[in-house]
Amino acid sequence: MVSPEAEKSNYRRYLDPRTLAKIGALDIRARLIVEGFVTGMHRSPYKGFSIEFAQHRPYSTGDDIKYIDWKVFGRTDRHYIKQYEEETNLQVMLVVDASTSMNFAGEANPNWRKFDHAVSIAASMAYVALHQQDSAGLAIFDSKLRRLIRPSNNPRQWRILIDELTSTTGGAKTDAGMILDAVAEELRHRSLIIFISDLFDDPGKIIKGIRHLRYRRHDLIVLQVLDHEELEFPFRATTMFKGVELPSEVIVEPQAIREAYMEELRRHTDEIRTACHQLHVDYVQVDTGVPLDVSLPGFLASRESRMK
Amino acid sequence: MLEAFINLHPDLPMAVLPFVSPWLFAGGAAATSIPVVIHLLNRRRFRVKQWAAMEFLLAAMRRNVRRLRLQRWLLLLLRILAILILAAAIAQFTPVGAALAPLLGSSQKLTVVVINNAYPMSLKPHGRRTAFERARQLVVAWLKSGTVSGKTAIIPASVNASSIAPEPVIPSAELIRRVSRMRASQGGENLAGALQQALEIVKKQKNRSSSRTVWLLTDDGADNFGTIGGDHRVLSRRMAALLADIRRAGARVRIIDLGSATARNMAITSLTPAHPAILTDKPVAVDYTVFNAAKTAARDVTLRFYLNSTPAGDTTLHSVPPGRLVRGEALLHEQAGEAGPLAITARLAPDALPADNTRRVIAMAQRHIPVLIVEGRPGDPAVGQLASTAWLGAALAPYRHGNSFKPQRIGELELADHSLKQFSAVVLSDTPAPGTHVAARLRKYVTAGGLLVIYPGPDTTGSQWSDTMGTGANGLLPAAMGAVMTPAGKGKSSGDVGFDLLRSINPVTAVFLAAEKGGLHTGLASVRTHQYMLLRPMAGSDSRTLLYFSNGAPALVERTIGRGHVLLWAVSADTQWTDFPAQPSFPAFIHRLMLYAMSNPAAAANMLVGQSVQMETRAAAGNWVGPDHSTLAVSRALIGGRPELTSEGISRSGFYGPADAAPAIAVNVDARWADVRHVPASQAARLWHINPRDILHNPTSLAAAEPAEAGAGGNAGHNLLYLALAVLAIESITARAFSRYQLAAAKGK
Repeated sequence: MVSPEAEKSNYRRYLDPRTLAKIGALDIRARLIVEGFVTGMHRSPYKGFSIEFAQHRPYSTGDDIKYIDWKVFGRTDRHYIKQYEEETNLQVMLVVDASTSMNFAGEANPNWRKFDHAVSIAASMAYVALHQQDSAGLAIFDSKLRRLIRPSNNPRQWRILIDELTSTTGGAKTDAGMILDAVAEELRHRSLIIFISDLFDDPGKIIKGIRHLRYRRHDLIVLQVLDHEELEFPFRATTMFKGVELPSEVIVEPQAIREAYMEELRRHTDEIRTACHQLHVDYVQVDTGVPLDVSLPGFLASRESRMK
Repeated sequence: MLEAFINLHPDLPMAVLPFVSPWLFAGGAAATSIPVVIHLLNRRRFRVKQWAAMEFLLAAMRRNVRRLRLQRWLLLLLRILAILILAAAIAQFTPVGAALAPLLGSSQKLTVVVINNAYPMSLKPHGRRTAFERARQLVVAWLKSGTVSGKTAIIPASVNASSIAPEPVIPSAELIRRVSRMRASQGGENLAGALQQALEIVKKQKNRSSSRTVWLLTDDGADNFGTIGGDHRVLSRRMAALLADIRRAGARVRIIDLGSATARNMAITSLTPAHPAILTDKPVAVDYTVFNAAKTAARDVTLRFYLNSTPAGDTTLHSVPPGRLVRGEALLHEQAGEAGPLAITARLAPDALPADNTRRVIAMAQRHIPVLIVEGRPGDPAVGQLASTAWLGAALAPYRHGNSFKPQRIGELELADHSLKQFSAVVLSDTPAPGTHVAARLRKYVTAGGLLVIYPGPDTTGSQWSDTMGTGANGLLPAAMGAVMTPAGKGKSSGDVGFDLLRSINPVTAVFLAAEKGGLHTGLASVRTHQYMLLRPMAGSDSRTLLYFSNGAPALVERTIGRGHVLLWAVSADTQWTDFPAQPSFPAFIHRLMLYAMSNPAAAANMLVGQSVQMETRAAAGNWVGPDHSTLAVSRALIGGRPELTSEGISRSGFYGPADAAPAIAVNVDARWADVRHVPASQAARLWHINPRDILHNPTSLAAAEPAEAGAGGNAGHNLLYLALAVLAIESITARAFSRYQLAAAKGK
């Protein structure tokens, strides 16, 4: 029996060095510019009026006269506008599903739940963000928003997030749509929201929540975490399946129903994937059977290439 | 269960059960429940799994429930069908319908199996199975082998054999059961009869079968080619002709030789009382013959005799040459004691074929032999004229007491009403031709086993006798009676004729002839006859001249009618025409002649295996007890107006009779077939005019001995196996197709 203290101290297992080494070699870049002026590597496409001077440009009609560099005018008798290079502060909000369905673990690795996989991803992302002086926050939910930690780049934030992730236990049915709405209401600044869930909910509600976040101009990455058994349905013997969220059970011959089941799953994910594409949201399906150090770098690399 | 059903219904047509092993099919049919049971068990035996993606699973179930159910039932049906076909293949399904047969590869071939099950096939060499057991095993193994094609007829080749499959049938469990239960008969061989039956079947099926084969499973013993004492050429030619006819009818012939080159057998081939009537106060004498069916002589062969199960003496033959029949007469040291049926048994030491080591006979013990003399010329004692039968009477009963014969004289007029049944012989001496009524009575008497002796005389008119008694097939006389002849000559003595003994060799005269040759004067050779009636034996009839005159004219003619005999003399019973009654040889000759011609009163009680009881006897009808407490159903019936006992054919040798009574009949194997010496294939092929390669000696299986072109195919078993595999493949493909259909259908949505 592992004590809670020991479990907490074991949080670093979510930060597999191999995983982090690969993620560290890549840049997380936001597709949209969010507000903020902390130093970091995320250069803003906008030249504004901030702390760091960038360049001068000739004054043109309509420019605010308060930005005219009078010293230059005194030396050159010409009006120049003083421009500063603005660096944005990326706010990363990790939204992690802790519903009952996330407790499912396949027979191949019964100690590795979907929730474990989701937490590992969240921890990895938070680490990278904080390491780059970005802000990172966390939202944990099941049928309601269980915990919300607002984004911060405080040096203690990393510890706070990790403690929260390792201590969380879910217990109710997923209500992802409602949660996305709630997160949208809670975030004041435009943020990069990493939504990690198995998305076992009504696709319409999920898409409505995504649309709400996009309306608030948040950047969104949807990571659908599914167990390898859920993706492949590799069973042969007659099995009684008991729902972990739904109070139903059914006896089936898996081979006879496999294709139909997979088609249902495919239809569900396709609906969400299509909506994400239309809303310029990144959608990634993560297989818990595939190691994190394989799946995450692939996703981030593709995302970086799209940014360029 | 099915086996029990078959046993309860032995007459069930074989076509109803078109399986060689129906119980295997029944098991297979029961096994069709396995997929259902597995299905039901799977529905009950499942593992439980917690599942998160339940919505998708439930949705998949809702969308596919009908299709899944249909697929499940279809696959279940295919699995059941595969098992059913597999069971049919293992049970060696043999299609009944001519239309179905070619479809399943079972061509209409005809095989006629002739199994020699006569008693010599029971010869059991030391430590080995009998030829019949091996024949039966070969046929059963062949029927079970699954290589049997088309229809098969099984014909046993023995006398009075029970039929197995006299008409061609599809081999089935019932047929195998019948062959398995087949037993070697104690009857004699009937190879020719069985082959004749096979020929008829081949002819009948010629246009209904693609190929035909006749197998003859036998021991190739000498008995296959002829009986002991018979003309071997007759049976061999008959067999050769039948085999040739079978080949001409388009059938191949295979002889399966199951005999042994070392086979040997010692048999008692006959046992009879030395005289037809056994007198109670005289020692019993028996005649016997022993045959040595071996390639070497048998030494010190001992026969033990029993009278009513009591040891009555033995005799030892110092040497019996190989392949020879030795005759002998034994005088037993016991007497019959009481009048009535007497059971006599002779036994040899047991050998490999025990059926013919024991011989039984029922004889009738009598206190004396009653003879009725009908006097036609009684004479006149007043003038010293003797009756015509005076000499005869004196010859039959020369002593006051202790005579074997007991003559009784009546006048010719008394014959019409006098009972004849109680007499062993009736003598008519110089009587006028009898009337129609008397003639009919005499005929009835002779047919029932009586001996009728006719002496002509001066008062006899031959033509009238011939007219009244008849000489044809329905007549009674052995020869037509003609005129009274006086041999030509100048003097009385010079015209006399004597008996031509050298021309008259028979059991009656043989003793006298031998004595004469040995220098003894019996008087028979010096008999002088100066008058005689001209007898003309009927050509082509069963008349036989026992004694000739020196001029070639018949002196004594014999005829067998029914169970009895008629003796017709050409001379008178007294000295009117011949001096024979006055010769010293006369009484001995008369005794010998009477005993020779008289029938054994118990003849009907002695029969061979396969024959049935048909006799007049005082024994009670009902269930007679036989050997080893077996029973024989005997009933009384009117045959020819007379009440007689009858039964069905008797299958076992031994004594039979009413319970708690003396044996009424004796049944023996027909030991004429006792010659079991093996005939080599080359000699058999030569005698039967067949190719030596068609004789297969002790094959390990009939399938191996089967002609190549006839062996192909077999029953539908192999093709059914392929069909079962095909159905399984279809089931597998269907299951995969369902999965693909599912995918395609889903994509279509």
